[in-house]
Amino acid sequence: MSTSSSSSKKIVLKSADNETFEIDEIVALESQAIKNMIEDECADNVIPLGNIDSKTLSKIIEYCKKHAESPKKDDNADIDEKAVEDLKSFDAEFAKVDMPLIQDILMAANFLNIDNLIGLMCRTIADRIKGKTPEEIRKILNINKNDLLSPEQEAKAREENSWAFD
Amino acid sequence: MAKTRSMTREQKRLKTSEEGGSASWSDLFGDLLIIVMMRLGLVDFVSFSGVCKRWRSIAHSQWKTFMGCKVPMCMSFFNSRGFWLEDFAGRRFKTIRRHEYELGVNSMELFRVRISQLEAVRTRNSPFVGGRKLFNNKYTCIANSPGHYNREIVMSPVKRLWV
Repeated sequence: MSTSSSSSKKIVLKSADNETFEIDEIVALESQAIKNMIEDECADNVIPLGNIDSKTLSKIIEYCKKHAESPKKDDNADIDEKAVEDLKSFDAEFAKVDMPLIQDILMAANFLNIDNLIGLMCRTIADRIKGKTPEEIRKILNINKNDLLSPEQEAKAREENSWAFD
Repeated sequence: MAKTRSMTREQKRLKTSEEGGSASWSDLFGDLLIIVMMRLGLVDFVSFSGVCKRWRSIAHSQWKTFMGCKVPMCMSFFNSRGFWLEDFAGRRFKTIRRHEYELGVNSMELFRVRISQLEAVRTRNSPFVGGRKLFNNKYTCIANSPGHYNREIVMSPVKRLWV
């Protein structure tokens, strides 16, 4: 994946499945972790991201590109309302993916330290949990079988959850 | 694509789910789960605590922080003996009657109270007494009464009083 502008500095990211992504440095700087690496001059030409697969990484780059392009809040107090709305609708569309990918993106965003993206993913997960019973939440998520509640805990949780949604 | 084959041992350790694919939700980092949890309302929070062991322990260890930063729920009586709770988003929750107990919320904690005690509040302005809180397995006493029966009463999580 490459970008149109050729004047700016490029960074190459390498996914766990050895796919490389060439992006503008400005896009990579959305990640606080990569920013720190670049500032400390410990980033080589290619930054290997051994725990992020290419599917997740390309989503993250899509997000960072969009956010790098749009004006930052702290740059200018009266930024374009339209740009804010545009970014909002981009975020809403971006989050319309299945739960496993949401989790992969969240883990990767956490690793790369991209605050806005962590917030967006957490918000999305919370929205999908809302109004659901524990059983329904377990169905949409991938819960480790070793982590299920004991029968006693399950009974207690069930009693605590004796609410009727109006 | 040889996704899994090219993974190092360390990456494999990160992906612990038996199904292969993504790591299990119960393994998601605690601080991320807390961010998710803090965005929920009280009733969803209680659901959250019933999902799995890890989520339950996170909910139980963080419930004071959670309760402290939430808008109190509104509590209204039905004309019969029950009541409902309304959250800040305007969603209403009826409690489901379990034998002689009613489930309710006190200073944003869950408790259960005898129907007869609830009746007492409705009819004689007497304080709730001896409601047993279910959540977190601790006992709590419910102090103060609403000024008049049939009034909407709101529990302040900060003052820990009916206001």
